[in-house]
Amino acid sequence: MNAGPGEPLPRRRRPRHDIITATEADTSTLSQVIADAFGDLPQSQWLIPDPDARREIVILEVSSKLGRHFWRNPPVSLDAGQWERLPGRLGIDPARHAEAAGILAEVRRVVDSELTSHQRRLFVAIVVDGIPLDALAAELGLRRNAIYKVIFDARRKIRRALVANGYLEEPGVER
Amino acid sequence: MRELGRLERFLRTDPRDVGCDEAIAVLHIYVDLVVAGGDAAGRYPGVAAHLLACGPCSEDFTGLVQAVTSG
Repeated sequence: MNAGPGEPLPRRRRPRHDIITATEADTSTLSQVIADAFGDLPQSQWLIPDPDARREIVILEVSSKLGRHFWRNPPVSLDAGQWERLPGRLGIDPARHAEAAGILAEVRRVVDSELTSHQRRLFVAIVVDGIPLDALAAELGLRRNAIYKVIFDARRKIRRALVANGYLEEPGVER
Repeated sequence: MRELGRLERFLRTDPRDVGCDEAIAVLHIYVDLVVAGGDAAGRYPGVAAHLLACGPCSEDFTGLVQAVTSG
């Protein structure tokens, strides 16, 4: 059961997002990150009387720490461009990779020829190589929002190209 | 092909999506509405659209909800 962001949540649920993910930390890593985050919080923030505000500060601090933590033992470097792993990352059955090859080749063509170099670098890092968005933000010194906007524009551009070239039939949500 | 549904969903963009900064700025209010059973998505459709598309912000949202409901 998938609850929307406006609906009451079950106690445990799987993330709704498909490709842009936060760091997938194991339990011990997460514990260390949380401990680090608490340790680094300025004492002035411990004294904020609003418990919601304190929680928000801690969660944002943990998100930031998780991003930086990724680079201690990075599984992939920036600009690696592991396109051969994209079908697996998209959950495509290996038996059907050949069937998907056409549209994925078109995605790669659009990424290579129609995205700006900045869009291409961030798209490849996040979507193709699977670098967590917060980890990329920490490494490049960019805000999460800045990277999200770049990927948002890249997604729109790729979808338009796929529709224009007959790979997708509907224009999607964009208007 | 059905397996490409994930790619297609990822490539969809919602013009109401407010982005990370605006979503985070009101996330505590949004969470309060959700926990109280209010129509958070109706009140903040741009935030709802963003949380459906942005993994990190969605996880912050989930963490805040769990912090509030377990606190």
